[in-house]
Amino acid sequence: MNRWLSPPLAGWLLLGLRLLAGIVFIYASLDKIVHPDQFARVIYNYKILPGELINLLAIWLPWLELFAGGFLILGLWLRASALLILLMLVIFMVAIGINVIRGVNLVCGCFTTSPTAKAQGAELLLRDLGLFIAVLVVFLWSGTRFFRRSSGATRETVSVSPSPKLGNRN
Amino acid sequence: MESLGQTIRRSILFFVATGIWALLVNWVSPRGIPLVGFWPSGRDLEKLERPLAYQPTDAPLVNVLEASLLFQKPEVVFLDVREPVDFAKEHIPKAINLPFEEFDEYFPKVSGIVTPEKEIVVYCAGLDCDASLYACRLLQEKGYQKLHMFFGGWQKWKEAGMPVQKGQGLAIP
Repeated sequence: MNRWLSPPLAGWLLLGLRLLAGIVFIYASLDKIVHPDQFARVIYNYKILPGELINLLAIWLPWLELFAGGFLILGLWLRASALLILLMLVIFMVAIGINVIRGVNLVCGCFTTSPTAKAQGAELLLRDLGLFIAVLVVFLWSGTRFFRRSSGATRETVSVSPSPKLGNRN
Repeated sequence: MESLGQTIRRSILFFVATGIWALLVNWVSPRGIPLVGFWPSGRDLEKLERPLAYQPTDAPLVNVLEASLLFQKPEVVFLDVREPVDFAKEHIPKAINLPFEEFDEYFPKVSGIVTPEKEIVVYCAGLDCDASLYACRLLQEKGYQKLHMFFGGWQKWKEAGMPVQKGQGLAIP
């Protein structure tokens, strides 16, 4: 049995992480869904993606964020939604990192030597890194053998949940 | 325990299903966008004559030649909306710095000199910078009528070999 964290407590912790990451992603997606043209412009400002793909990403990504965030909170297809969120975060961090190094101002898409622009980029990076760690924990812990009900060598594991009713429908 | 393979399969299904949904919504939505947009880069960017988001209601555009003619009139004010660090490196002589990203902070400081009756030329970094467009819109909201948007701004000025000035520029009280 896991000595560090008793199952009910671990369940609450994981639920907290899921809520945090899920809410952030859902909230972030809303404006982009309503204004895909503005979001496309933001993607363009990053100067990474070829022009032909920008609109597709602007159309697709916000819904991925919304649904993955929602599934994460509800515990539906938990590992899959967590995996997608992790992938999205990696892509975001790489994109921000590239532009912090290049010195591109993410707001206007122009080159600048201003430390403010770098600081803003670094702040975004840290935020995404924090989310990444939170969701990584969810990904690694959901459905792991730490939370077996019985200490026997059974294959079946209890998915993490604070109460049986909520359950993660893995 | 769900296998990694199952997780990956579900992720792919999730990804594809979301994509289909997204494309459908985009198709029926009044705010939908074309699947391929006009996003110039490289040589296409060099041919751009106006900001991508430019509307007919925006301030009139000037090119580098027109800007240089306005430059020779002492009563015309040049407004540089780039970041202070970039401004201090080099800017159009006698230009005033009103960084777009700190607009609300800097505007009260410069509004004594930069008044609505003055003729103003607004510029930012270059062809991929729209800050001059957005700054002009903010100024228009404040009642400024005699605005000229110098699109391509600093980049075009330098390319034309025009005079430059370094430092903080006019002392702002």
